[in-house]
Amino acid sequence: MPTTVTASTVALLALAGALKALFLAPGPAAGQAFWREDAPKLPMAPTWLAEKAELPPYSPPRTPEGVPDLQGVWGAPGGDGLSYLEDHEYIDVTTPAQETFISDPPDGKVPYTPWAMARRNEILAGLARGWPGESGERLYASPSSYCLYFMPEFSFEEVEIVQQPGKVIMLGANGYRVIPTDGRAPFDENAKFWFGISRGRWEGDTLVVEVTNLNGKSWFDSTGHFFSENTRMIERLRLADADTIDYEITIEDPTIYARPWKMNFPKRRPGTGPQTRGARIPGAVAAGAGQFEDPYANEYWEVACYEGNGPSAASLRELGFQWFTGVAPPP
Amino acid sequence: MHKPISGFPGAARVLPVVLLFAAPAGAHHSFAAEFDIEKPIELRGTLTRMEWVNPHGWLYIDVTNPDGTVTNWAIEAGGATQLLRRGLRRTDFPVGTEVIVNGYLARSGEPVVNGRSVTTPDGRNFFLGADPGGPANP
Repeated sequence: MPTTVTASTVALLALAGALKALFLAPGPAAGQAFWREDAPKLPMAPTWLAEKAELPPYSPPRTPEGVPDLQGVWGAPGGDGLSYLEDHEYIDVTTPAQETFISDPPDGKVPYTPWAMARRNEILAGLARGWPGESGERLYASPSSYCLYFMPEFSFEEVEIVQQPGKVIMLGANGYRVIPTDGRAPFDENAKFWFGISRGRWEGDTLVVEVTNLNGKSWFDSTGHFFSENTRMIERLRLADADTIDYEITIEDPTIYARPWKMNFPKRRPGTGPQTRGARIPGAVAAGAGQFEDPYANEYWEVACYEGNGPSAASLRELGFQWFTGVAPPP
Repeated sequence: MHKPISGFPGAARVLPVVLLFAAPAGAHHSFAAEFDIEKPIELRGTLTRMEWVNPHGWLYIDVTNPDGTVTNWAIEAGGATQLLRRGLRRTDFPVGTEVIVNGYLARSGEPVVNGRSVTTPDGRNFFLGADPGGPANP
């Protein structure tokens, strides 16, 4: 039987394809998945610590400069999309059960001082997400919701690393970061930035980056784990194998933490590891990432979140959320 | 035109909570603050505009209320970069097409929905069948 194709059929088919991709398209960095309550707990630091303990020693390739070659695209930690830093059971559809990001202390919790813990609980109670223990008031929405970009979330998300003599460059979907490795002097401590100031050095096969001069106005996750403008972060990036960076970050701030603490997880090349694009993530009813093959997976494209975020930001304001302006530790 | 509403417009059927799939892609952490997972909503309307922007694309559909007035609903969806990665272009969104949108209602009470799926009048739902393990498709 001959098939009649009309202009309207063509338009409808075009619309069908367009709409399908519109809603299922993966978010390269922050795509938000919906999860079933019985989804298996997502892996993070504990699983990675066990996995890397089994890996054989790896000697990384070197650049012409003679330093380890970390270049390429490196994925985000995956999981619940940086919803909640510490180990947790299922909380809601966007916050499935997940292991902690924290590798030290061994209990996997941020070692806040008593004052800072009280502040943390206040922020948690004001998230207005329908969780137990909430105050019923809207306090702060995640700084990420306003398309602000900052450390260390920038490093956690998918980045492309480009190396030049004396510097390491991290390109992100919404910005970039230049890390000098030439031993230059520290920056004036009074200047504060969303990204802070980074100073890198090579220790054997590891890139060590000290981050200071942070403005303390951002969070580690989207539910209020905070630092301050006194915080110092030390990142360590080392190739664990050809396709995996062992990413560790130490957080130091005696004004709000009882002791230094560490987060540790793998950053993998696209298409490698257990949670790859194109693969179903167990337990996800709506995977933001992984439902479709991305023919451009190895190309890094700008997203520029700030471009059209006005409606979302306005909506948060209308709901009564405020900007998080940082914490003021007691003297 | 955004017409203020109180409660749900009559044209919008509130469905029981059934999680399908289809991500509110690129919601960058604000989904739970802005939208209510306990308020799934279905809208039937005509596509009037598509905003091709990051971090979210926006579909606008005219929905006729029982009293004959028309409310233009904003449907949040995936962003332009994500669409381009799929090989799509602006011209793939012809206005005037009738669509049924399923999503979650904004907490603000405005006619704004976080989009979850779209169905055309001939009954095809573009997302069913993609997730055999999902509770809505056992």
